[in-house]
Amino acid sequence: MIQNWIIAGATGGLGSAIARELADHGCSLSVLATEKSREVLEQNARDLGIRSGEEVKTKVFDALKTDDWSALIDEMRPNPKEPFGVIWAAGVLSPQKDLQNDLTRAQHDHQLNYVAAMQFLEAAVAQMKPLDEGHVVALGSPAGDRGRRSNYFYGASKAALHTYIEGLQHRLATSAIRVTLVKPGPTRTRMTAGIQKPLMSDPKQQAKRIVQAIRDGKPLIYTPPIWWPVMCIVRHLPRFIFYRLDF
Amino acid sequence: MTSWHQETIAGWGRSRVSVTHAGDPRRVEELPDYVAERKHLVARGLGRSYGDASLNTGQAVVRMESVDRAVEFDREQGRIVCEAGMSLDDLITITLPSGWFPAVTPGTRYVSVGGCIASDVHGKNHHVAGTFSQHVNWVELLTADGSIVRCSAEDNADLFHATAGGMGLTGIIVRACLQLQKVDSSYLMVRRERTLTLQDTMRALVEGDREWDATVAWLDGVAPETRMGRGEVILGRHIGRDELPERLAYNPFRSLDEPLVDLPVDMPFSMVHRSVVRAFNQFRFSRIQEGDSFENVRQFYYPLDVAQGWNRLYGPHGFHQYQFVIGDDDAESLIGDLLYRFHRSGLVASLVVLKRFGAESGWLSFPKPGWTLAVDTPSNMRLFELLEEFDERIVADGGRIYLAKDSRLAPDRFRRMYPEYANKWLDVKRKYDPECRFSSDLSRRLRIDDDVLGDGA
Ligand SMILES: Cc1cc2nc3c(=O)[nH]c(=O)nc-3n(C[C@H](O)[C@H](O)[C@H](O)COP(=O)(O)OP(=O)(O)OC[C@H]3O[C@@H](n4cnc5c(N)ncnc54)[C@H](O)[C@@H]3O)c2cc1C
Ligand SMILES: NC(=O)c1ccc[n+]([C@@H]2O[C@H](COP(=O)([O-])OP(=O)(O)OC[C@H]3O[C@@H](n4cnc5c(N)ncnc54)[C@H](OP(=O)(O)O)[C@@H]3O)[C@@H](O)[C@H]2O)c1
Repeated sequence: MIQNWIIAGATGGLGSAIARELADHGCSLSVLATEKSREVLEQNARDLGIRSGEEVKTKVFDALKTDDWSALIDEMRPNPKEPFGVIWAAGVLSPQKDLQNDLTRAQHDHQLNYVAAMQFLEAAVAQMKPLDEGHVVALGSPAGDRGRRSNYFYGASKAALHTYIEGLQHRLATSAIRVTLVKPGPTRTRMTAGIQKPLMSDPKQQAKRIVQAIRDGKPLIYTPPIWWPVMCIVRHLPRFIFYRLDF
Repeated sequence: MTSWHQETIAGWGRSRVSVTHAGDPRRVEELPDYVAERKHLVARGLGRSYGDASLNTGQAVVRMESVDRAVEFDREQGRIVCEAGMSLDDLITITLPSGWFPAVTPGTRYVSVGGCIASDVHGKNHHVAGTFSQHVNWVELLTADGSIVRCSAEDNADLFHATAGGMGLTGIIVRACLQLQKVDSSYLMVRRERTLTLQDTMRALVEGDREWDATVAWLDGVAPETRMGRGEVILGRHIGRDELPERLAYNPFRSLDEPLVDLPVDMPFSMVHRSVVRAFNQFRFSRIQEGDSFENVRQFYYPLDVAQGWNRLYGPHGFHQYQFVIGDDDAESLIGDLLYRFHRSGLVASLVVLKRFGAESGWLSFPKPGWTLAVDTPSNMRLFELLEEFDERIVADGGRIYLAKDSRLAPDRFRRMYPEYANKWLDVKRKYDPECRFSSDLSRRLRIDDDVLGDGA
């Protein structure tokens, strides 16, 4: 497995759990979040450093205001001789109703969930090319598998990410750069705070499965794995049934 | 910025749900705001207490899950400073590879450091190591006035003694410094003995305590009347690399494995039926591997952690754990009676654990010399009637009930069981929290709030 990782969204429920899991495997980390979470990021970094025994780099940035993605990656990556991986764990899930009523906000969400993700990953791949080694990981969502009235703005941004990753995987099929798309089921994080549903996964357990998939170099995982058959069925439900379901 | 959500939570026994305002701080520095925003609140760790200790119906709980970082780890001295929400699972992941293990651990590693201090938990090694808080160098406590006070057995000792075992009622533990025990591998040498009667079991434990650091017995709670008290005595001691067979010695600090099974949904009815437990226990009893073997810390200390959410097996009504301690003289007859009465009343004692305690420590800490028995049973009315009767016998014999497992003890019996409550604890509570800001379903049930605020308040 790659030893050096850059994580965007490292203060999030999933991002911070993945960072810990990697640190527990002795990986060297660079972690990013926004100004809002500066202190959390710094404190997390200290914990990560104790776990990994490695220096942890931190940086605050705003994915919506970043122009030079290449410079960002350059600053966070290890020296040019060492391969590295990147993980896109940033994202936002606004209530569907709010987005329907405010298309500027919908645009903002898409900008973060898809456009910024694509720019971050694309810039990283460009820097991995000289060594032809590296690992690109993105957190997508089963919500991108079929549009539903309750969250189709969010779903559409994740569907775009899915198609982008698929294409990237095709492009890198003959290279040693690995690409992993993770589709987590509902997980207890700030993104889902206050939503009480059965079957909410624990971020720590999710992170264990995600890091295992990264080590195995899997191209696509649903986690927990049950979401794969569930989404298979959801995708193929005939419309006359699908439209009657309330979700 | 604080973050509160109305949520439905429960204790580990799940016999009652509680609607509450749950706060989710992310940093220690945010905590004073959480305290300032609510009139009554209590900290919650990982919710592994069985009863109402970490519930606060209609009021607020502050969940410490995200305030769980390692702050400093001294690998030479085996001292770790961590935030109170850190789980023992994480703690062990960090410290075991350098040869350090918690000096005291309960039977699950999914508990928080704060919860272990607030319940002053004990482990299989109580007879040699005492309780968790005896290995705490200091704690930092956020008190009712919003200040953070560092206390230890030396400094602000009154606050320290009131906080260890204080069930979260003195304030929110935000950080702690723990002294760990040195281990030379993640393995123990374990001896298992099959016992046929209660007397047999107790004798084997007394003998085991003389030579082994960690001792406990599992009893078959649904055994036929003539076999009451039969079970398995389990003895262990940590060993070094030199004592390990080659197949284990090449990787002496093998890490903890993950849970194998996860039960994420509620069962619509209880799976814990007498016939199921009987079949399971029969199987387990007949399969006991007598003799010595090597087990890693996970197998030895945390057998229940192989299944996440196993408490859901008990269905919508949940279950109760009755844990008490009773002096040597009365132990055998009382425990024998209890098993017999359970049997006679058709109650299913699905899990029964017996252990002998060492010396007493602390003010509200549970352990005292004698025998402790913990019995898991699906909740029902008959059970509670029977337990009333046993409560009275236990008080009369100078024993006590463990608050971390309790949801039903009567206030007057609590006072008789824990004399230091009135002698010492209450004064410290009044001094640091005169308005009783830190309160919980447990503190109201035991009428601790009334004592603090004065009559009728
Ligand atoms: C399978 C299993 C086995 C167990 N085995 C044992 C055992 O062998 N020995 C033993 O002693 N116990 C045992 N227990 C009980 C358990 O160790 C205690 O209930 C412990 O307190 C749980 O920790 P928690 O973090 O889940 O706390 P919670 O259940 O969330 O809270 C317990 C109490 O601690 C307080 N608290 C929690 N965090 C803080 C904080 N940061 N500051 C102030 N107060 C706080 C709460 O207010 C509450 O009063 C076991 C429990 C289970 C489920
Ligand atoms: N939780 C779920 O149930 C679930 C399910 C499926 C997929 N996912 C996906 O998994 C990813 C992580 O989700 P999560 O639940 O961990 O969310 P989260 O806890 O809300 O974390 C979101 C992360 O994104 C960062 N972020 C937000 N706006 C940003 C911006 N403008 N620039 C840079 N970073 C920004 C946040 O940083 P700050 O802390 O600085 O704000 C934070 O680190 C998301 O892509 C999400 O869509 C989540």
